[in-house]
Amino acid sequence: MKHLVIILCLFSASALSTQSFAREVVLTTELQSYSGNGAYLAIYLTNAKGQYQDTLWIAGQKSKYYKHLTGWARGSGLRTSEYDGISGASVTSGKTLTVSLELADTYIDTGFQLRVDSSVEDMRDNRNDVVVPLTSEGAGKPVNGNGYVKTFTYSF
Amino acid sequence: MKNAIKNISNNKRITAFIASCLLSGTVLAKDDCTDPVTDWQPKEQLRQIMEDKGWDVKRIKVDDGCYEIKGLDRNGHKVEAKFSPASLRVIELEIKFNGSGDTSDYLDLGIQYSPEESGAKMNSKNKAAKHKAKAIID
Repeated sequence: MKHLVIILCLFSASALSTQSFAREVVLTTELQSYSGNGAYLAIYLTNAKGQYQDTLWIAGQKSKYYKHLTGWARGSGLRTSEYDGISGASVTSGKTLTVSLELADTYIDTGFQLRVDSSVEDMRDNRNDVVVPLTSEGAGKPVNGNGYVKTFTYSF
Repeated sequence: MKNAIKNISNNKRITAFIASCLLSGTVLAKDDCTDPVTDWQPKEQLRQIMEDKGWDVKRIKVDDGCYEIKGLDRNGHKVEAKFSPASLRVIELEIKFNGSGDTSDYLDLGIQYSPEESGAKMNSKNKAAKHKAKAIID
Protein backbone atom coordinates (compact mmCIF):
# COMPACT_ATOMS: atom_id res chain seq x y z
CA MET A 1 0.00 0.00 0.00
CA LYS A 2 2.82 2.33 1.00
CA HIS A 3 4.59 1.51 -2.29
CA LEU A 4 1.44 2.25 -4.24
CA VAL A 5 1.11 5.69 -2.61
CA ILE A 6 4.75 6.49 -3.36
CA ILE A 7 4.36 5.39 -6.97
CA LEU A 8 1.20 7.48 -7.37
CA CYS A 9 2.94 10.51 -5.85
CA LEU A 10 5.89 10.09 -8.22
CA PHE A 11 3.56 9.66 -11.18
CA SER A 12 1.50 12.75 -10.42
CA ALA A 13 4.63 14.79 -9.70
CA SER A 14 6.12 13.84 -13.04
CA ALA A 15 2.82 14.57 -14.82
CA LEU A 16 2.62 18.00 -13.19
CA SER A 17 6.22 18.81 -13.96
CA THR A 18 5.74 17.90 -17.64
CA GLN A 19 2.74 20.20 -17.85
CA SER A 20 4.68 23.14 -16.50
CA PHE A 21 7.38 22.70 -19.19
CA ALA A 22 5.15 23.65 -22.10
CA ARG A 23 3.31 26.87 -22.79
CA GLU A 24 0.55 27.80 -25.20
CA VAL A 25 1.97 30.29 -27.69
CA VAL A 26 0.00 32.21 -30.32
CA LEU A 27 1.88 33.50 -33.38
CA THR A 28 0.09 36.15 -35.42
CA THR A 29 1.47 37.09 -38.84
CA GLU A 30 -0.24 39.89 -40.75
CA LEU A 31 0.75 40.30 -44.38
CA GLN A 32 1.23 43.48 -46.38
CA SER A 33 -1.13 44.28 -49.21
CA TYR A 34 0.84 43.36 -52.31
CA SER A 35 -0.11 42.30 -55.84
CA GLY A 36 0.70 38.66 -56.26
CA ASN A 37 -0.21 35.11 -55.32
CA GLY A 38 -0.45 33.72 -51.79
CA ALA A 39 2.75 33.87 -49.77
CA TYR A 40 4.62 30.81 -48.55
CA LEU A 41 5.81 31.32 -44.99
CA ALA A 42 8.13 29.36 -42.72
CA ILE A 43 7.89 30.18 -39.03
CA TYR A 44 10.73 28.56 -37.11
CA LEU A 45 13.02 28.74 -34.12
CA THR A 46 16.73 29.38 -34.10
CA ASN A 47 19.24 29.84 -31.33
CA ALA A 48 20.91 33.21 -30.74
CA LYS A 49 23.52 32.40 -33.41
CA GLY A 50 20.79 31.87 -35.96
CA GLN A 51 21.19 28.09 -36.05
CA TYR A 52 17.99 26.25 -36.88
CA GLN A 53 16.24 24.48 -33.99
CA ASP A 54 12.68 23.62 -34.89
CA THR A 55 9.86 24.32 -37.35
CA LEU A 56 6.68 25.85 -35.92
CA TRP A 57 4.52 26.26 -39.03
CA ILE A 58 4.79 26.19 -42.82
CA ALA A 59 2.17 28.07 -44.84
CA GLY A 60 1.97 26.76 -48.41
CA GLN A 61 1.03 23.30 -49.55
CA LYS A 62 3.38 22.42 -52.37
CA SER A 63 6.65 21.14 -51.04
CA LYS A 64 8.40 21.80 -54.34
CA TYR A 65 8.35 25.52 -53.50
CA TYR A 66 9.72 25.14 -49.97
CA LYS A 67 13.28 25.65 -51.19
CA HIS A 68 12.39 29.33 -51.67
CA LEU A 69 12.07 29.68 -47.90
CA THR A 70 15.83 29.79 -47.98
CA GLY A 71 16.89 30.18 -44.36
CA TRP A 72 14.47 27.58 -43.13
CA ALA A 73 15.26 25.26 -46.06
CA ARG A 74 18.95 25.31 -45.24
CA GLY A 75 18.35 24.69 -41.53
CA SER A 76 15.69 22.02 -41.84
CA GLY A 77 17.35 20.28 -44.77
CA LEU A 78 13.79 20.24 -46.24
CA ARG A 79 13.17 16.96 -44.41
CA THR A 80 9.49 16.06 -44.41
CA SER A 81 9.76 15.00 -40.77
CA GLU A 82 10.40 18.67 -39.96
CA TYR A 83 7.00 19.84 -41.23
CA ASP A 84 4.71 16.82 -41.09
CA GLY A 85 1.34 17.83 -39.69
CA ILE A 86 2.36 21.46 -39.22
CA SER A 87 1.76 22.88 -42.68
CA GLY A 88 -1.29 24.51 -44.23
CA ALA A 89 -2.48 26.88 -46.91
CA SER A 90 -0.47 29.83 -48.19
CA VAL A 91 -1.53 33.26 -46.97
CA THR A 92 -2.88 35.82 -49.43
CA SER A 93 -2.14 39.51 -49.51
CA GLY A 94 -3.45 41.47 -46.53
CA LYS A 95 -4.57 38.37 -44.60
CA THR A 96 -3.53 37.31 -41.12
CA LEU A 97 -2.24 33.86 -40.18
CA THR A 98 -2.76 32.87 -36.55
CA VAL A 99 -0.96 29.76 -35.32
CA SER A 100 -1.41 28.36 -31.81
CA LEU A 101 0.92 25.73 -30.48
CA GLU A 102 2.55 24.38 -27.35
CA LEU A 103 6.15 25.36 -26.92
CA ALA A 104 8.67 24.16 -24.34
CA ASP A 105 9.49 26.76 -21.67
CA THR A 106 13.17 26.14 -22.30
CA TYR A 107 12.90 28.21 -25.49
CA ILE A 108 11.59 31.30 -23.70
CA ASP A 109 13.95 33.93 -22.23
CA THR A 110 16.94 31.77 -23.08
CA GLY A 111 18.25 33.49 -26.21
CA PHE A 112 16.17 31.68 -28.82
CA GLN A 113 14.68 33.60 -31.75
CA LEU A 114 11.55 33.32 -33.82
CA ARG A 115 12.11 33.76 -37.55
CA VAL A 116 9.84 34.04 -40.56
CA ASP A 117 11.00 33.44 -44.14
CA SER A 118 8.59 34.35 -46.92
CA SER A 119 8.25 33.84 -50.64
CA VAL A 120 5.74 34.67 -53.37
CA GLU A 121 5.64 33.18 -56.87
CA ASP A 122 7.52 35.33 -59.42
CA MET A 123 8.52 37.78 -56.69
CA ARG A 124 11.51 37.95 -54.41
CA ASP A 125 12.26 35.53 -51.59
CA ASN A 126 12.73 37.04 -48.14
CA ARG A 127 15.05 35.21 -45.84
CA ASN A 128 14.61 36.61 -42.30
CA ASP A 129 11.49 38.59 -43.12
CA VAL A 130 11.09 38.64 -39.32
CA VAL A 131 13.71 37.95 -36.64
CA VAL A 132 12.61 38.46 -33.05
CA PRO A 133 13.99 37.19 -29.73
CA LEU A 134 11.54 34.95 -27.86
CA THR A 135 11.20 36.65 -24.49
CA SER A 136 8.45 37.27 -21.94
CA GLU A 137 9.08 40.99 -22.37
CA GLY A 138 8.57 40.91 -26.15
CA ALA A 139 5.27 39.03 -25.92
CA GLY A 140 2.30 40.91 -27.32
CA LYS A 141 4.48 43.54 -29.03
CA PRO A 142 4.12 43.67 -32.83
CA VAL A 143 7.35 43.62 -34.84
CA ASN A 144 7.54 44.94 -38.42
CA GLY A 145 8.62 42.55 -41.17
CA ASN A 146 11.12 43.32 -43.93
CA GLY A 147 9.24 41.65 -46.77
CA TYR A 148 5.67 40.49 -47.22
CA VAL A 149 5.07 40.43 -43.46
CA LYS A 150 3.55 43.65 -42.18
CA THR A 151 3.61 42.74 -38.49
CA PHE A 152 4.44 39.66 -36.44
CA THR A 153 3.30 39.19 -32.86
CA TYR A 154 3.71 36.32 -30.41
CA SER A 155 1.85 35.99 -27.15
CA PHE A 156 1.66 33.44 -24.32
CA MET B 1 7.93 -9.33 -75.09
CA LYS B 2 6.72 -11.19 -72.01
CA ASN B 3 10.10 -10.67 -70.44
CA ALA B 4 9.92 -6.98 -71.21
CA ILE B 5 6.52 -6.74 -69.53
CA LYS B 6 7.85 -8.70 -66.58
CA ASN B 7 10.81 -6.33 -66.31
CA ILE B 8 8.54 -3.29 -66.44
CA SER B 9 6.35 -4.77 -63.75
CA ASN B 10 9.43 -5.59 -61.61
CA ASN B 11 10.73 -2.06 -62.08
CA LYS B 12 7.34 -0.75 -61.07
CA ARG B 13 7.45 -2.87 -57.93
CA ILE B 14 10.94 -1.63 -57.08
CA THR B 15 9.83 1.97 -57.64
CA ALA B 16 6.79 1.39 -55.46
CA PHE B 17 8.94 -0.22 -52.77
CA ILE B 18 11.42 2.68 -52.74
CA ALA B 19 8.57 5.17 -52.67
CA SER B 20 6.87 3.37 -49.81
CA CYS B 21 10.16 3.28 -47.85
CA LEU B 22 10.57 7.00 -48.32
CA LEU B 23 6.98 7.75 -47.44
CA SER B 24 6.48 5.36 -44.56
CA GLY B 25 5.59 7.22 -41.43
CA THR B 26 5.76 10.56 -43.16
CA VAL B 27 3.26 12.72 -44.96
CA LEU B 28 4.22 14.95 -47.84
CA ALA B 29 2.73 18.35 -48.35
CA LYS B 30 -0.34 18.39 -50.53
CA ASP B 31 -0.01 17.38 -54.17
CA ASP B 32 -2.63 17.84 -56.87
CA CYS B 33 -2.79 14.06 -57.44
CA THR B 34 -2.50 11.47 -54.71
CA ASP B 35 -2.85 8.22 -56.65
CA PRO B 36 -0.77 5.41 -55.14
CA VAL B 37 2.33 4.81 -57.28
CA THR B 38 1.39 1.16 -57.67
CA ASP B 39 -1.75 2.20 -59.58
CA TRP B 40 -0.03 4.54 -62.04
CA GLN B 41 -0.51 3.83 -65.73
CA PRO B 42 2.49 4.10 -68.06
CA LYS B 43 3.18 7.48 -69.63
CA GLU B 44 3.17 5.86 -73.05
CA GLN B 45 -0.45 4.82 -72.62
CA LEU B 46 -1.41 8.44 -71.99
CA ARG B 47 0.67 9.57 -74.96
CA GLN B 48 -1.10 7.04 -77.19
CA ILE B 49 -4.57 8.13 -76.02
CA MET B 50 -3.84 11.80 -76.67
CA GLU B 51 -2.12 11.16 -80.00
CA ASP B 52 -5.21 9.20 -81.05
CA LYS B 53 -7.16 12.39 -80.32
CA GLY B 54 -4.90 14.27 -82.70
CA TRP B 55 -2.61 15.90 -80.16
CA ASP B 56 1.04 16.43 -80.90
CA VAL B 57 2.50 15.51 -77.51
CA LYS B 58 5.76 17.42 -77.01
CA ARG B 59 6.45 16.38 -73.46
CA ILE B 60 5.00 14.36 -70.59
CA LYS B 61 6.39 14.97 -67.13
CA VAL B 62 5.36 14.31 -63.54
CA ASP B 63 4.39 17.42 -61.61
CA ASP B 64 2.70 17.61 -58.20
CA GLY B 65 2.01 13.88 -58.41
CA CYS B 66 0.20 14.19 -61.77
CA TYR B 67 1.15 13.59 -65.38
CA GLU B 68 1.48 16.89 -67.22
CA ILE B 69 1.37 17.09 -71.00
CA LYS B 70 2.60 20.00 -73.07
CA GLY B 71 1.89 20.00 -76.76
CA LEU B 72 -0.41 21.06 -79.57
CA ASP B 73 -3.96 19.91 -80.13
CA ARG B 74 -5.28 18.82 -83.52
CA ASN B 75 -6.05 22.43 -84.42
CA GLY B 76 -2.53 23.55 -83.56
CA HIS B 77 -3.52 25.26 -80.31
CA LYS B 78 -0.96 25.19 -77.56
CA VAL B 79 -2.21 22.98 -74.71
CA GLU B 80 -1.07 22.10 -71.24
CA ALA B 81 -3.01 19.44 -69.36
CA LYS B 82 -2.71 17.58 -66.08
CA PHE B 83 -3.95 14.01 -65.73
CA SER B 84 -4.52 11.73 -62.79
CA PRO B 85 -1.77 9.09 -63.25
CA ALA B 86 -3.98 6.16 -62.21
CA SER B 87 -7.25 6.90 -64.01
CA LEU B 88 -5.71 9.11 -66.74
CA ARG B 89 -8.61 11.50 -66.24
CA VAL B 90 -7.91 15.10 -67.13
CA ILE B 91 -7.93 17.31 -64.05
CA GLU B 92 -6.60 20.58 -65.43
CA LEU B 93 -6.52 21.94 -68.97
CA GLU B 94 -5.04 25.14 -70.34
CA ILE B 95 -5.49 26.05 -74.00
CA LYS B 96 -4.13 29.01 -75.89
CA PHE B 97 -6.47 29.64 -78.80
CA ASN B 98 -5.02 31.24 -81.90
CA GLY B 99 -8.00 33.44 -82.52
CA SER B 100 -10.10 30.52 -83.84
CA GLY B 101 -11.02 28.61 -80.71
CA ASP B 102 -13.82 26.16 -80.19
CA THR B 103 -14.20 24.64 -76.74
CA SER B 104 -16.34 21.75 -78.01
CA ASP B 105 -13.15 19.93 -78.90
CA TYR B 106 -12.31 19.58 -75.25
CA LEU B 107 -15.61 18.60 -73.73
CA ASP B 108 -15.13 14.90 -74.41
CA LEU B 109 -11.87 14.64 -72.49
CA GLY B 110 -13.58 12.49 -69.89
CA ILE B 111 -12.62 9.05 -68.73
CA GLN B 112 -10.10 7.39 -70.95
CA TYR B 113 -9.17 4.58 -68.66
CA SER B 114 -10.69 3.19 -65.48
CA PRO B 115 -8.56 0.44 -63.96
CA GLU B 116 -11.04 -1.35 -61.67
CA GLU B 117 -11.59 1.86 -59.71
CA SER B 118 -7.83 2.14 -59.01
CA GLY B 119 -8.02 -0.17 -56.01
CA ALA B 120 -9.55 2.85 -54.25
CA LYS B 121 -6.77 2.92 -51.69
CA MET B 122 -5.63 6.48 -51.33
CA ASN B 123 -2.68 7.36 -49.15
CA SER B 124 -3.85 7.39 -45.57
CA LYS B 125 -2.62 10.63 -44.08
CA ASN B 126 -1.86 9.93 -40.47
CA LYS B 127 -0.74 13.35 -39.48
CA ALA B 128 0.92 13.58 -36.13
CA ALA B 129 1.63 17.20 -35.42
CA LYS B 130 4.86 17.74 -33.52
CA HIS B 131 3.50 20.66 -31.54
CA LYS B 132 -0.24 20.01 -31.97
CA ALA B 133 -0.22 23.31 -33.85
CA LYS B 134 -3.43 24.79 -35.25
CA ALA B 135 -3.69 27.66 -37.69
CA ILE B 136 -6.37 29.95 -39.03
CA ILE B 137 -6.18 32.59 -41.73
CA ASP B 138 -8.48 35.56 -41.70
